[in-house]
Amino acid sequence: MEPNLFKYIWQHSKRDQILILFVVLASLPFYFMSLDLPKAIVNNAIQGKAFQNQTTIKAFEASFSLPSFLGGAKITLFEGLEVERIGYLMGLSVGLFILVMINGAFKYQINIAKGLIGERMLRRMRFDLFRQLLMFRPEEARLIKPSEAASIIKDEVEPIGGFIGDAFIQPVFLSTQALTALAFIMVQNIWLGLLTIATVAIQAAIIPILRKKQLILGKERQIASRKLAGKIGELVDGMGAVRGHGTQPYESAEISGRLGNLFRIRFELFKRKFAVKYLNNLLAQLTPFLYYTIGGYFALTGSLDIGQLVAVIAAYKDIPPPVKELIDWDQQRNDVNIKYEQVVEQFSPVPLAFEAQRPEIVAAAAAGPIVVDKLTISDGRGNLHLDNANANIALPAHVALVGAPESGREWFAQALARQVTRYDGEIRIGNARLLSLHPGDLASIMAYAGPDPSLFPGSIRDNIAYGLRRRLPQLDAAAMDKAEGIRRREALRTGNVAERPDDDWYDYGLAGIDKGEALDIAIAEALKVVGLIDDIYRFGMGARIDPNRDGDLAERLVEARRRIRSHLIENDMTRMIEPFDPAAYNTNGTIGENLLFGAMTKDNVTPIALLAEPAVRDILRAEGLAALLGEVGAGIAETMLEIFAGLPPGHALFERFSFINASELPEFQDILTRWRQLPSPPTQLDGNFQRLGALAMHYIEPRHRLGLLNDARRATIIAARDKLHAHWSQLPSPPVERYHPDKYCVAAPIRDNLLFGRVGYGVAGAVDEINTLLRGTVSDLALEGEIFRIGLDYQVGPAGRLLFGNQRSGIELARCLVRRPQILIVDGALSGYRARDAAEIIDRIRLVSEGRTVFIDIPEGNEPEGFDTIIRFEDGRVAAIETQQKEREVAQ
Amino acid sequence: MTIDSEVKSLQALPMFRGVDGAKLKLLAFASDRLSFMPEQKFFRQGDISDSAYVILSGKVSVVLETGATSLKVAEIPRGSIVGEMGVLSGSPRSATIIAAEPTEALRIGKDVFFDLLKEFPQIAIAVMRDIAVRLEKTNARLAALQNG
Repeated sequence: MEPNLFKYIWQHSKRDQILILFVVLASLPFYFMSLDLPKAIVNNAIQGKAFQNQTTIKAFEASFSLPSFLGGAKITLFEGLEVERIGYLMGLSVGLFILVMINGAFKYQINIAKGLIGERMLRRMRFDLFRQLLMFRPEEARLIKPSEAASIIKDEVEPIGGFIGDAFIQPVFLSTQALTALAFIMVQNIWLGLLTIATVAIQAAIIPILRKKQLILGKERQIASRKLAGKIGELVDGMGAVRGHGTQPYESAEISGRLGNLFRIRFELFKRKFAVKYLNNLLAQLTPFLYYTIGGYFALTGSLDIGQLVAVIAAYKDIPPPVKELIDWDQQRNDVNIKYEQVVEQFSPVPLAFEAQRPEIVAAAAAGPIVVDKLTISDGRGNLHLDNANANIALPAHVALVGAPESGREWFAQALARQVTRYDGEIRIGNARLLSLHPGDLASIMAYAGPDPSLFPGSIRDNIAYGLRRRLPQLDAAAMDKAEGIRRREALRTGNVAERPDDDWYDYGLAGIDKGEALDIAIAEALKVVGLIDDIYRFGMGARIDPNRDGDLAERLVEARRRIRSHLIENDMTRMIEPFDPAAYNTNGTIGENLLFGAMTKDNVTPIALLAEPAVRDILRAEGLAALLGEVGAGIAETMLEIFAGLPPGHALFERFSFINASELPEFQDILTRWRQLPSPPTQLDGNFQRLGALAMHYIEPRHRLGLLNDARRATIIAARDKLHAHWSQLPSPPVERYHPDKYCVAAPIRDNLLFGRVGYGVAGAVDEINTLLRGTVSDLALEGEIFRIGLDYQVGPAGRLLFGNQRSGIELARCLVRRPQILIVDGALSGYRARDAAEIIDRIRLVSEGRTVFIDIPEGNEPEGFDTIIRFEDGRVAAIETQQKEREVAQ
Repeated sequence: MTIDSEVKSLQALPMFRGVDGAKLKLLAFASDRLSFMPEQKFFRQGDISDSAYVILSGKVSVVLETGATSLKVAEIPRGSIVGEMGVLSGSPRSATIIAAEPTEALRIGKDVFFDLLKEFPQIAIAVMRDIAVRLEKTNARLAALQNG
């Protein structure tokens, strides 16, 4: 990027800047007239100089004379009017009013135009910075702190953008304005003019000196704020480590220290700011004083008339603001210059010198060979990662990279994938130097799955198909309406791109398909290779459907539910799932679930919170549930007290099985004692007895086996359930969607809708059998595709945090596989897998990469089988290269 | 079936004789009570040893699988604990266990099993006693084989 801010601005906005300058110049005559007119009002109209001894004069004639070479004729536009003094005064005042309006209009237009330039340049600058970011070498990119980069692009350039509109126009506009006013004063009285110049000179000389320190502080503030943003970003990433090691106090002190420093800088800054302001005000107010005394003296002695004095004072009012603003401008210029240099310095990668994109190179490179020539990688501090590695690999080939961690294996793979670019020696693919291949070309040839998968927030589908987003969507000329035209024009004139991110960017050809509908199939193939199909199926089963989008899926799922039910009945398996029956208590569900008998429709309301709502509690009380829940809770508490009393607090068994925390045991002992002392069961649960009720909500008879439910109690719960639903169905948005045997429950996940009941406790092997049954039914009814599709909608969260490590690695691998690269490099992507699973995945990768090239790292101890070439690494060197090529040829 | 009745069943077993009722209640509460149909497998040889079972009623067969053939080597009656050896040693299941008739069992997860042993010497001794008895039987059979 251009290191000089003013050159950068001029390069990209000179046309607009010049245009505005003309407007500024055009505004000056009007401005001068608006200064001059008050004089005429005072002298000619109020003091009556124009009238002398007449009562009326002919005024407001509008005419101009042609220059002599055009004949010198006088052209009269308006004959003028005969007016009296009052009329004359009114006329001139109206004229002044009109001039004020015109000046205002000019100012408005100039401001709008300046703002527009500023915003456009800001957009361009941010975009340029972002592009710079993409140009960093991988080594440099790893050193950038994400939050600092974000803070630079988002916050730090914003004041620069605000300044850009003013960069050229402001000084011209203000100085011409000040000079016009000054010239006006000079014309009226030379001494007053000189006086004005003197005060302005003092202002212009002293204030910048005072501001020097302010600039230094400003720079300090910028760097300190950026570092603060960076530190906060680090802490958010490392929150686990902070909590885990209990270093909150230290980190708090660290942040507190930074905030203290920022406070100091900011306080210093504003102290200086107000000092400058004070001086400014003083000078501004001192000058009128001089005017009144000196100007008054001139007026009294007759060398200046009153009208002139009034006009001079009016004109002077207009001088300090532009001068002050000019000084402000200069200050801002320095400030913004420093900021800009800072930012550009941060964003000045030393990019690789790429060749232009050459489509033909893709085919040539894919044909190979890959030549690694004296490849030596060191960290610049004398540590050698890879020493003088040489290899010549004919493509296509399946290559195993074998070696212990830090044996040089990773560095070799990363250099091959251009994840490392600083090395001695050379790598060539085909006849092209790897380092000079255009990134677009490189991506067309190669895919790399490294040890740290980088997923973006969005669905699994988006992440896997990410690598297909390579085709620039056509800008449809027909679809261009006015707003779209403006959008595209603005994008292009600020050096941005006009393509829309939400158009179809997928290059389906890369995945070997011709249209979007086949995308999920291609993704499924890739997921099969990495062994994630079952995970996606599970995500799908755990997801809710969107009834608006998923059409008749709900009905088909209800049909599947019926099939599962009849299968259970026919095969004497009814004990495995106890179905939801509106008229019956579900013994394998909790008491709470039996009361709700439906799925929660709001994610932010928990069942317990819902059952604690006053209206709900009223219903429960009216239905006699208070005594029931209290009794069940008391029964639970009693058993917990009995069996957990002997365990030390914090014991694992407590955490997993107890209804009650260790610390609460004594309180429950107390509550229980008081409960047992009640003469009769209460009609409502007050105070601590509510805690007994809360315990009861989680009780499942066949699981906990405390014998606390009987038929009467179950009937009470069912009756209460009906009353609750009668209440909820009255609400504008019911918090619970009731289970209905023949209806799909949108608020519940697919799996719950299929089972439509609770898995029976105590039936050995029930879970496995049910899963098999579910899968079978889903597949019989051809629902697998739908569930898979919904599973692909699963949101991975920021950086894929909602997934397990292996799922993340698998998705990154699938992202590489789906675009069928000519050269696939797998480096550490399988390190989290068990050896056997990794070996199976490697086999499948090789199977789908038949006829293409694969480099796969093999952990030490596993012997690669069937590879064309095996490169063995030891202590940062290539220890051996074994080629099976010959044996194969012999065999053939 | 309630925990109280399970505790009674456990107390009736020789290995848990003398163990405190509250401890047995905890054991029962922290376990899953499962019912197995005849021929239903508890686990298969080679599976990960993730739990031990106390046979409350019925009986189970111990089957060794060698390649395609399987050989029933023993029957274990009610009142015994099965699968605890694998849990203790951390090795995979050494045999397949199949219900020989309708069988009720308490399934004790690996973590719970260790927690109980660590916390309650009474239960640890009960398990040791069971293993010791079995080892004695094996020794006796070995001796009988050598002598015979």
